[in-house]
Amino acid sequence: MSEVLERINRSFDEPEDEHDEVREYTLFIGPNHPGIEGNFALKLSLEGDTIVRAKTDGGYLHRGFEKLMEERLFMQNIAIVCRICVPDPDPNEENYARAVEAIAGIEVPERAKWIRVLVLELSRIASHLFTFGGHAGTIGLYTMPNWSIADRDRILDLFEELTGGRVYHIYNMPGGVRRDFPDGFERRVHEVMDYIESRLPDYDDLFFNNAILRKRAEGIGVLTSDQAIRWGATGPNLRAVGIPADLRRDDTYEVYDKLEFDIPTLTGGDALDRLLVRRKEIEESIRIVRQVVDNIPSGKVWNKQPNPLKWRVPAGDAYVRTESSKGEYAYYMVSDGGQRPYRVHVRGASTTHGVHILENLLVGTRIEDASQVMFSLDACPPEVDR
Amino acid sequence: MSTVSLVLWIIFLPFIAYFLGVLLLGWGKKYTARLQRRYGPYLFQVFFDSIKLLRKRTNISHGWMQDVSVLMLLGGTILTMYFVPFPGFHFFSQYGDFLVVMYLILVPSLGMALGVGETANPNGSIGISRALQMLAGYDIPFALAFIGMAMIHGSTNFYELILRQQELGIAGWGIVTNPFLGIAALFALHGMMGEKPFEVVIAPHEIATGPMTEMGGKYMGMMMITHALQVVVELTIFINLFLGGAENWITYIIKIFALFTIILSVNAVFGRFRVDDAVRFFWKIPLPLAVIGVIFVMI
Repeated sequence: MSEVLERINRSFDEPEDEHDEVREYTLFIGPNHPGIEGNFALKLSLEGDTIVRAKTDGGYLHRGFEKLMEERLFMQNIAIVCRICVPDPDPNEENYARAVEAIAGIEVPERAKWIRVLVLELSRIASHLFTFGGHAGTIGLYTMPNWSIADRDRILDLFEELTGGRVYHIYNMPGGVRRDFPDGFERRVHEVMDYIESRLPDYDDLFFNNAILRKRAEGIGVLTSDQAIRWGATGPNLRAVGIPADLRRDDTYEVYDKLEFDIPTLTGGDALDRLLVRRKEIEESIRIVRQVVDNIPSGKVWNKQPNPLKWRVPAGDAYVRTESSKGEYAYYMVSDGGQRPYRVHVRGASTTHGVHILENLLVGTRIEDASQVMFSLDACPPEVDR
Repeated sequence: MSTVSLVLWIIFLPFIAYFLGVLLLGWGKKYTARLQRRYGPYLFQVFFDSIKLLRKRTNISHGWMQDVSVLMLLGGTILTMYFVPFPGFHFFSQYGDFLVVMYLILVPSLGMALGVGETANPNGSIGISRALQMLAGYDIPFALAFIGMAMIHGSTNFYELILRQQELGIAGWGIVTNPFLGIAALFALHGMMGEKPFEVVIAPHEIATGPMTEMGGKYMGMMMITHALQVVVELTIFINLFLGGAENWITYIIKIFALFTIILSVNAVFGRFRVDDAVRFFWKIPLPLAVIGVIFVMI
């Protein structure tokens, strides 16, 4: 009995620091977890329900894209780059093609430029629809992913018709695009755009105006404009803090300067605003797609290039940027005059969003919001692991 | 009730309830799938899943407490079921009233808490902690709703409550005579069933299915069987308290499917609350409704 009393007294006398290891615990989200975005992991240190430290753990998708490109012919790499971001692969193809074109001084036919814009905007819509599904899943609203991902399939149908591939298109090539529109393609694009537009009010009712989403996403993972600039946010995540930065306007490429569209911005900087900016962007992308289909000039779609097996790209380097659905997507390519790139560096938006910003925003949020904050930043893990 | 029929009921009621539970869950999957523009799985998918899981070899066990926990889950649910009147079977309800049911219905949760504690998985522990917090939310309005009904009819006996309601037809149903209590209990039932927006215990994206994280193979099979039974028991309690019970199996099946469909419809169009918001919701809406209902009864 006296021993028991002594132990109880001793436990009261112990300083609080002795229990630190009990107060704080570690929780892994991923790589095998319904709440993780792709093949990625988060190591969270928690006190109760509150995250005190967050560490991202990538590398599960590391296939050495950049190094692989140094070992393959310029033409072969077109089939590799699209795999760097599965939901939105086309900015990779766009950047790669434009980088080679810039170094080799290749002219692109006007019609091909319009087609590239069409493909990029369709890819943006498809990617945002995918993101809506992922984000809704984090709060348990599983009807939304079923709707939005099924609707995304209609865009994949268009891709299949145009490029032969649903997810990876391998369509943009240095000098243009691989093939022209099939018969009646413009009409089918209009039909799909009309359909997607008609679905937006349904999404609003189910998801964007849903009381639970508003309650859960508002004020969560708030990014201030100062932080966004300091930490290198781009794309919808930057526009959600009120900064109307968009490469399609600021450093225009292809034929974006000939098209009318707005840059949606919001000022809250929280998970909800990041989501709503993407929702508004879909409307703008639909606008762009319709203009492209209605105004596309006729002509050839590819300027023939030398035999790809013997093609030597002149020595030089180029830095090209594209506004992807995730943010600023850039390629820096160096050629030493050989048949293969000397170096290709990929600057994906997800490294800043999905690693640096995520680790900072998670501190102070609760365990139930971790997944939501991550999906609201819309990172693409293979971009981090490239 | 003759001894033979009593023994037969005792033996077969769990099987009947399980069959009904499988049908309800299968219907739930189909109905939700159609709302989500999907085809949905086979109607008896839950049954096949259970069989598949029970046939699996258990590679990881965290000790005897985990083994006991699934038995407590199943045993507690079956025991609760015996005290809830079903059409043609209300033998035990004369020996144990609603208070006994409220007590027994906690046994499965306790079993789950013990088993999950044994696994020492933090996701499971968070899930259990959430389950207990939710209990503090929905249990009080549900108990108050029952107290109100007991005051109206002057009895805590389930079977008597059903008979009193049936005397007046639909006008005598608890949800008609005192809608405040009925609506409060409906909210509480929704929380008890853990359907969205109250799906905070499982919450796959947050805590990787919480208490079920370490439950694979046979453990998961037992949990699926228990879940099918729990759905039947919880819905039947509400039907008995507020929808006039059921004179026969046909009206019972109509009522139970209709009630479950209402819950599924809400489940399909809402995300899940945070756990504190869920408890706050129960204290802000169902609890005051239940209190108003009881005050009405007292007046």
